[in-house]
Amino acid sequence: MPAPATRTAARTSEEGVLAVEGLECRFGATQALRGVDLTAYAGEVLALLGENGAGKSTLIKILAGVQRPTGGVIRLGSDVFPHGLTADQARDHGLAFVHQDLGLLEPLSVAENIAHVAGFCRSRGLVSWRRQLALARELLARWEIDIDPATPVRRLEAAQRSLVAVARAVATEARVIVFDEPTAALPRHDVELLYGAVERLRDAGVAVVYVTHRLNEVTRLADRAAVLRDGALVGTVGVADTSEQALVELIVGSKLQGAAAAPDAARDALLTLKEIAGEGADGVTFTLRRGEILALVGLVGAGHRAVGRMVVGAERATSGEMRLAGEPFHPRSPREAQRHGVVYVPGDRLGDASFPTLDTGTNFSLRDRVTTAFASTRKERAAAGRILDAWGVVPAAPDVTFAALSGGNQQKVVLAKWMTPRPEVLVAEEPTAGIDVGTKTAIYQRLADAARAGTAVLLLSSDADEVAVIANRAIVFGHGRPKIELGPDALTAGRIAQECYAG
Amino acid sequence: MSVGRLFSRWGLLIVFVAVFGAFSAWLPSKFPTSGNVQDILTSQPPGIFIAYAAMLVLVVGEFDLSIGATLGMSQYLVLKLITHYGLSWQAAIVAAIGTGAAIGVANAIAVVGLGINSFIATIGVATILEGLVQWISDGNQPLFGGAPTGFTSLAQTKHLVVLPVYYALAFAVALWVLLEFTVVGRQMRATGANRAAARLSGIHTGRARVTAFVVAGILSAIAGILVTAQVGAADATSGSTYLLPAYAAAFLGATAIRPGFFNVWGTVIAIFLVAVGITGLQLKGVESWVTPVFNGSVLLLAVAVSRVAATQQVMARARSAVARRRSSSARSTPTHPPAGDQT
Repeated sequence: MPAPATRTAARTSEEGVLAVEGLECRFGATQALRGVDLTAYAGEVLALLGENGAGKSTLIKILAGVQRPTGGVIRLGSDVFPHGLTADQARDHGLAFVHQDLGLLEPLSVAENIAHVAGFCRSRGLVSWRRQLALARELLARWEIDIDPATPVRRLEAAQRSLVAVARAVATEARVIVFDEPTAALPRHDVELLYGAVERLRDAGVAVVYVTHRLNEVTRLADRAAVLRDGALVGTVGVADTSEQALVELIVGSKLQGAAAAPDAARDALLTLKEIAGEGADGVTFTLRRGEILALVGLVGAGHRAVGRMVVGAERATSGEMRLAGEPFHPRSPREAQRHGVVYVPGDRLGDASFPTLDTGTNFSLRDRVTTAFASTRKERAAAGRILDAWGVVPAAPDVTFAALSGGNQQKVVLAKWMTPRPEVLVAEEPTAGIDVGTKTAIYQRLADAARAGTAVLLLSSDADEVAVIANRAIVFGHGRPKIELGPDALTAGRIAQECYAG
Repeated sequence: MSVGRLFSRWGLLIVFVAVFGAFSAWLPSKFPTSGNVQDILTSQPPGIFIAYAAMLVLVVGEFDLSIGATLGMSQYLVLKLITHYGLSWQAAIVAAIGTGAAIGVANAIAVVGLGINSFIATIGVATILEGLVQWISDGNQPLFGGAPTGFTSLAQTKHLVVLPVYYALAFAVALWVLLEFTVVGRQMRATGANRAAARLSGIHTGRARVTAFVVAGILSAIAGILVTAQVGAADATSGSTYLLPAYAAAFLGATAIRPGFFNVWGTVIAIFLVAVGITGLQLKGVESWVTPVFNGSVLLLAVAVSRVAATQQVMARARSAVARRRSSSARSTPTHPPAGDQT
């Protein structure tokens, strides 16, 4: 148990409600945090930025009481914790969290989700569901969230879930609320709801710590931005006094940056779809050429993802015609598609694209050409190590557990796996979701290189910026159908977003 | 509530009534008699208690496969302590229940403390228990008689049925209150729903799982004591036959009352559904091998049905999400969109 907090006299609003001083955290040989100093003030939004692996997650885990620091002090108001917090202490001292994946108990009701964090209403020792529901209803009403608190969370939409996560955090009367990439899982048009909630909290005098990869969120919401790099705080800047460009430089440091250009010339037609229809998509016709990156863009559920999954045999098209290099192509399984050089990089990194508990070497070599049982395992793993190294995966050792890598490195492993050897058709779904600016640039470069070498790349994305940077053409989807094709001249993030949100 | 929701909640009870009715019509002179109903009720309490144990551990998202062996240990131990070591029957019961709790602690140490997969850890504990029972029973020698009347009177008949039926009912109420109306119970439920999310919510997920294993050990021990009290003898090898029906009942029970959740009343209905089915078949004169075949089939069917139900829920949610998105793009913000879109 950490030493009991020493409580002293009154606090003032000028003082930071949350401060960490000289925070250190070491896992074996790696130092995740090196003497970080941070202060969050009441009524202010502090953005916390940094590449994957910069130490943001470790810092949050320490604040949540899930991880113990190896040095440094945490202050909450006037209480000092020299050896870190327990989860109960964090809660009791007014720290609340909206976790990256929201951390909701999906089968349970909204009211119960709130109760597990904020405490149960009891009468004579037993939980009073009547009062629990009333309390939740009142809380939701106060936040203008129109949800029946008896609804199981799993029946809610993404945006509603995130609001429940916020309501749950506020229910504890928290003085500091930490948001860990709260919009990562949100469709773009629902993001404003969450921003509104953040602003209300700030106006109510709560200190908000907001972790994000999206710089537009920083300029939109934050008063100050603190940037972590390699476990150290490299700067805290007032958002009004800085630019997105300056923030990017702080985040990536001296690393090479600047967007990769889309590959130049499309060559012969490789994959054609004619009036393809299936679960979630309908009336899809397009031609994908060698050497180009064609983006299928849309909001979540718009149908572009469904088309990609039909191309790779993960779903069946129920009607229409697909041809690959002139031959009829109707893959019944991803395995069959792979035989024809059509590969798929799923967007859900840990769910669909990898075996998180296995090591990176195994992750790299597990595909339809698995030969490790009899062929030379050692040779294959050494080869895997070399390729991972060439991709700049850190660490490039094939015996590291996949889940232990940072998000950006995980994504590199997954892409390296499917892009070695170079495929005919690469279907890449959200290839840079939730990863840092530096890795993003590297991945764009890889995709462009593959296209230049003759791969036809089908990019499934809901990130307008990404499409604007990397794609040659884009087809915008809505309600399961293609809405409009945007050529090179129309490929700006603004135009793409506009078409996505239009009717 | 829609007809579909009503049916998914009460479907199992309807099936129970239908099966009961069918056998009554098929065997009018043998099946719907008070004697037969009494027989069915009398033979169930140990099975009910062990099903509670299975269900409780499933609630926290783990498996306890040692509950059958715990029952075997407890039913033998309680009689052996009375007849060979001169303990009073009350003391013997306390000792047997304490042993059950200790087995629960052993499971908890292996699963929660050492982080061993509960499936394999509890099989290990079960195997150890079977060995220990063999040891104390001199190679699985059954014990006949010697149970004092005070002990066997625990299972005497009152108001038409044996007392253990009332114990089972009382425990059902207690477990229902625990799981629905206490903070500990809700934390157990949350732990089983999503352990990582529960931990992030500040719930002591380890404590919830330890509680489940220890209470399951106690419930299994009580089941064993009831077997001995009802039979008046102890067969050291009978424990394992209780294991599978307990899981069949717990999974089948999860398709009713609170569909999608392991729950007490669903489990009770499931026990009697299986019992009525087996009794009916036996009265019809089928051979004894039919019983395990029936049990196994019910288990598979129960899990399959609950999977289909879960899939349909997901589909319905996806459909309503599409509907929502469509109507919200038409500049409105509905909270109760029409279900069942035409996609």
